[in-house]
Amino acid sequence: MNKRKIALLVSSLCIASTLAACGGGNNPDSSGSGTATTTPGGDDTSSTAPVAEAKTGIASLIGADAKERTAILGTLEKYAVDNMITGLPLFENGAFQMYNPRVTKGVENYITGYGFGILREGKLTGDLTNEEVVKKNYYNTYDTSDPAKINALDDNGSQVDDLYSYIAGSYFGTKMNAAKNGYDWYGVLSTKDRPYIVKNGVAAFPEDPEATSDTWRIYVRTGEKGKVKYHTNSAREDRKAFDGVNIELDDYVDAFKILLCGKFKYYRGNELAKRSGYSSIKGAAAYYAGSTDGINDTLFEEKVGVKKGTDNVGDYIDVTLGAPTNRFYAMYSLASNLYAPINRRFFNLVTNDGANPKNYGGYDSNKDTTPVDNILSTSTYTLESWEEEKGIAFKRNDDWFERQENSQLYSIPGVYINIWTAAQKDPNYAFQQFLAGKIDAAGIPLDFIEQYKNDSRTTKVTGTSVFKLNVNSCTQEVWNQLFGSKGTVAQLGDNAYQCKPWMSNENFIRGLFYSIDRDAYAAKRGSIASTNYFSSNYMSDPEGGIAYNTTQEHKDALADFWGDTLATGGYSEALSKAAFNEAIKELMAEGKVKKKDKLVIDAWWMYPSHLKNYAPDIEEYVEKAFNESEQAKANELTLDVNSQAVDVWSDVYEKHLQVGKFDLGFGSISGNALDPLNFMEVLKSDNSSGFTLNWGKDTSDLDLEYKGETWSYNTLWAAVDHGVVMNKGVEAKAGEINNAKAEYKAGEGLKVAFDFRDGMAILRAAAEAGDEGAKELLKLPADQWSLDVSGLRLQVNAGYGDVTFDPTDGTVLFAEYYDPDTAAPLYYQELDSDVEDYVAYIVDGEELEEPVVGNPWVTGDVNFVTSGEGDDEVLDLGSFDLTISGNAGQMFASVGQIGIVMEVTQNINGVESLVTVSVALPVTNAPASPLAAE
Amino acid sequence: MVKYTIQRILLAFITAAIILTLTFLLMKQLPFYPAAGNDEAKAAFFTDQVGIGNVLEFALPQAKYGDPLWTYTDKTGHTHYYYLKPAIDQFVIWVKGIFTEFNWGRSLYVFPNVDAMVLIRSRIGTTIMVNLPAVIISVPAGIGLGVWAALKKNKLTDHIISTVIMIFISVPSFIMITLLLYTLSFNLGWLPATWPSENAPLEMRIRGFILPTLALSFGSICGYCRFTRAELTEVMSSDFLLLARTKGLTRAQSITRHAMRNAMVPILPSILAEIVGLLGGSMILEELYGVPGVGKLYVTAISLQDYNVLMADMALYTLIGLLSGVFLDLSYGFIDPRIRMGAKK
Repeated sequence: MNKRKIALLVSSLCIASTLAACGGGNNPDSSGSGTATTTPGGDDTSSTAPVAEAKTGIASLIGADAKERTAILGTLEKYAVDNMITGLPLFENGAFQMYNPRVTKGVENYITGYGFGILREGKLTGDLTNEEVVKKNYYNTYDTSDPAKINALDDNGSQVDDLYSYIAGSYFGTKMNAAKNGYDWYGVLSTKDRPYIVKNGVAAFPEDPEATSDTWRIYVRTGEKGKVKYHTNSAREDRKAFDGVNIELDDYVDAFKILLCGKFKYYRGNELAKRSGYSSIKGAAAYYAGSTDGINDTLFEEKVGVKKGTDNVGDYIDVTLGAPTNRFYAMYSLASNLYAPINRRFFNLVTNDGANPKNYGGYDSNKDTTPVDNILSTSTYTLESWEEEKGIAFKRNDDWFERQENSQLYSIPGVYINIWTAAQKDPNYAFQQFLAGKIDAAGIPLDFIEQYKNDSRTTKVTGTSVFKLNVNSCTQEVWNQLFGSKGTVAQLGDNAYQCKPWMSNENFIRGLFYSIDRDAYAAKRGSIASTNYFSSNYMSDPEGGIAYNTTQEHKDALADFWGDTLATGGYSEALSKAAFNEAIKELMAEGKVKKKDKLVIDAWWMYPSHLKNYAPDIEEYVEKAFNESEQAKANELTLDVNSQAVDVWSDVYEKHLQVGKFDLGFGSISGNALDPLNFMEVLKSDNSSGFTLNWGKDTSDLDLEYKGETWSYNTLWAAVDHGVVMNKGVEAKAGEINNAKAEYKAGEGLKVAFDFRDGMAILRAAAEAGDEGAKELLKLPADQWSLDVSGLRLQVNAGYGDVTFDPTDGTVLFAEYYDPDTAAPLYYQELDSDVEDYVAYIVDGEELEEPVVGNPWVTGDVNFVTSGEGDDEVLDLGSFDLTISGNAGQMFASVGQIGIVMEVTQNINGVESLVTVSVALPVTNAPASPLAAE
Repeated sequence: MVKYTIQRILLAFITAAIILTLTFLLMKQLPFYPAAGNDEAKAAFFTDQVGIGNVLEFALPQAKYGDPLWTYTDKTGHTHYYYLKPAIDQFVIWVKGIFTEFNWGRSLYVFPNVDAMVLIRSRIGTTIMVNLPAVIISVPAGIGLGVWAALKKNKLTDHIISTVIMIFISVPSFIMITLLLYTLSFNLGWLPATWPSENAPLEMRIRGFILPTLALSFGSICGYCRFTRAELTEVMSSDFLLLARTKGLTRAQSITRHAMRNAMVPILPSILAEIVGLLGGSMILEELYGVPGVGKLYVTAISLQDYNVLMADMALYTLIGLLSGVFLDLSYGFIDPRIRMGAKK
């Protein structure tokens, strides 16, 4: 089995549910209504199939360059916007920032992903005058707590990492471009601006930006020629000895050895050892596990994909990543300051030969040494002083090679960070200190926005998230398909949520979108009004520094839906009312609404404070637009937005957005800002990412056109993300489960039977039935497309019970069951390869002192139906017949429902992805739980 | 007396042990907040917690420890079950460390890696330095005002002093500190708004003492004043003072030679107790004014749930409180020969 898994794992890593709170739409039933008058662009946006025919075969756009990826992204975004599945955008969490007039920024217009370039390209034109300022000629800023250490290798937050970045160099960094409208990546500790691609042991500059490899060579600065030295401001003689020492090649490798040493248990090393994908390092886990006694040079050399060397270009280290990737992502994943070189002699001195690893970058246990004594600088600043709970000073490294080459860079002599714990609870504290002249910059808090937003010192910075109201525009039928008793996303029971008929009306949703005065709403909150799906920091060309929202493709994506309303923050009272008028006419004609009805929308918010700070204005906008529409007045209809908040912020996702129990829901997730295309997965209606938050439109419909061909949203996304195999535009199934039955028989146990077949078997059957597309797909050679059933299991009760099989021979690998109320383990057995038999460890809730061999309570038989002979033999059908006996069987059966999950590894042109096929089915004659009798 | 002293000291230690045990066990009942983030970050966090000793890790579920905090299946397919370590187990390890090595543990979050006791030792000096001027000023000022009020009993001066004292006593200390900050620092700009850095000019560092001294001494001045006035007025109305006047002593002589001495009997021990109490510091002042003292350390340790520092700090405060009470009681016997603590009737 080919174990190289790239794209889908990468995409899984890329999508993360974040804590920022702060993506409907179209009713398939009403797609034919086409009420063009409500659309600002004046075009009919009802779904009509494009002329071009849908494709059969492999579609892989993985190697697309940045320009094409931007075009695809624009196509997908337009589709999403026109079908209103992005969620109702409100504002971007940008902020007003004030700067002291003495600060000359590197650039006046904020560069997304880079900033104003104050430290590198900017300068200070005077001193701070407030007498309490300690370092008047330094750039003064603040933090709200004293972390008491600067070793980011052993910290799980961002504060220490921010401090560390002042003194720790990285292989690559960013600098403002010549035009001062973006930034370029360049080599910092690397002597080249990009890593070199290594293939078959040969390194070359990667001319093709999309060429992939797992091994990359970084030429590094070493010795006198490298012009980078260690520095310290410690007064201790033993530390001073390292001031001005050259960085050597071994130091780069030692940094990895120290970070990943299992004995030191550095947080980031532990995390790196557990990581997979292109951001991980080959062999990291094995070295971490094998170095519990200390740094193990032999093991490192043997296992870890970090090797040093010298060639005609210079000193280098070769890094082998966990998965192949292109040059940009290789550079990006290696641009961490966690990999900054470390002088091992210094490290041993500070940590007493590794006995006290926590001394590094912090205080020793007796507080005889401080962070200033216990770390060396390899970057533009050195740690000058650390006064506990008062302030941290960084002094410019006058030796820094960039400044030697260009004295205009880094002209600010230092940075002083005030520690103000009062700012933790008082949002106005830091701003008041700024007004008193003690720091150089501060964000304007809500209480002062009106007073200072037009101040000459004020500037606007872009945000990282667009806050939205997600939309549930399902009809009841669609909702039951997704979340009903046999729901494909969750099984909550049929009609467990009553969908509002108006929420599935396209014009009603349009009315909502146009009814909100985003400019006023955002201004009141000091934010930036937004009609975008992505925030400003998403880069369609990360290497070129191009933000997606600045591209023509993005503008085109918004034009049809928003039209002229873009000039007014997506707000148009006239259009909103017109849309509501049409919606009312349609709903009344369909009998879904009668005269004098009160229409309700349930809106869910993340915190109780949102009911005061965010909800009221939204309610007012929406209700006013609807209630003042002509049709609403004529028919005496009223709209009421019922805002509610959850107790715990995550409930808004888990109990509402992700399970369709809402009409509008305030929530947001973020993805990798450098890969916005991957993030589009969250808009797919099949919830393949697990993070779909907007429901209604079926994104597998063949109603999207790209370059003259017919696609669905799902297949176009899949084609560019990991490749897709299509039969007339419909994604070929990876597998299916049929004839599933589950029945409990007293005295015997729970009997489960099902058939499964992988995608190839499905195609063979279709081809036999005359499907020409299937015949064509079957001709694809195995190295272009293959499917491999890589996992098969039975689940009960959302994972509390689990039986896992080997799909090649039906062997039960292990089985477990927990009490769903207490999570206490009740049964656990596994197939022990040493004894080649089942071993039961926990039975009836008791952990066995002597595990029992050969007493399985789960047994299974498998039959395979194949066709062909010899090399042509293929699996047509696998069938399972499984029995879970005794109390375990009764417990499994008593849940009343089981799930069968099949995992298929799909390989398209060498790129693997994991596809899951699952069914849920009820248990016949389900008994009472044996636990209930206790 | 000796026996009584020993008994009181032993009782103080026993009381401290009970307080610390209860505090430890109750604190360990606080909710456990795992790290946010992806599975790798969480797995690293829990491994960290296992190393610290708060969490246990198993390869199989362990019903006896209740619900697992988290389960994680790693790349190799192995599942890790993380359970909260029982509070009693942690307590036993902690107590053992204290009695065998006087090891109070290391700070985890406030000052990572530093011994909890070293941390406290490094802060006590600052706390004493901040509190001592307040004691030096408040004692004579409070007693002086009290004497004046007593001498002018029921006159306008007495009424004014009593009213002012009543007002200041009624204002909670954190309000007082905030008012002083707001008025003297933010509005008038006379004094620094936070404790000056050690790198600040000497003049500013001296001015930095003014605000905490005022804030700390107001309450003490008021207390001493009221107490002194009450005691002095009572003594001044006693018969032996009348006899002293009758014998020919002037008013001033009778007050200084006889009345004051008797009035000081209950006051001196509280002065001594306050000096001992210097070590504890003022949490509110240190937190609001940014003084890196023991009080601020305590507040920070609570908010970061740094149990080792918290318990060491708690032990310090408990012992200071209990021993100063013992000291107070015993000092009565030295100051007033009529009082013999522990004497049998």
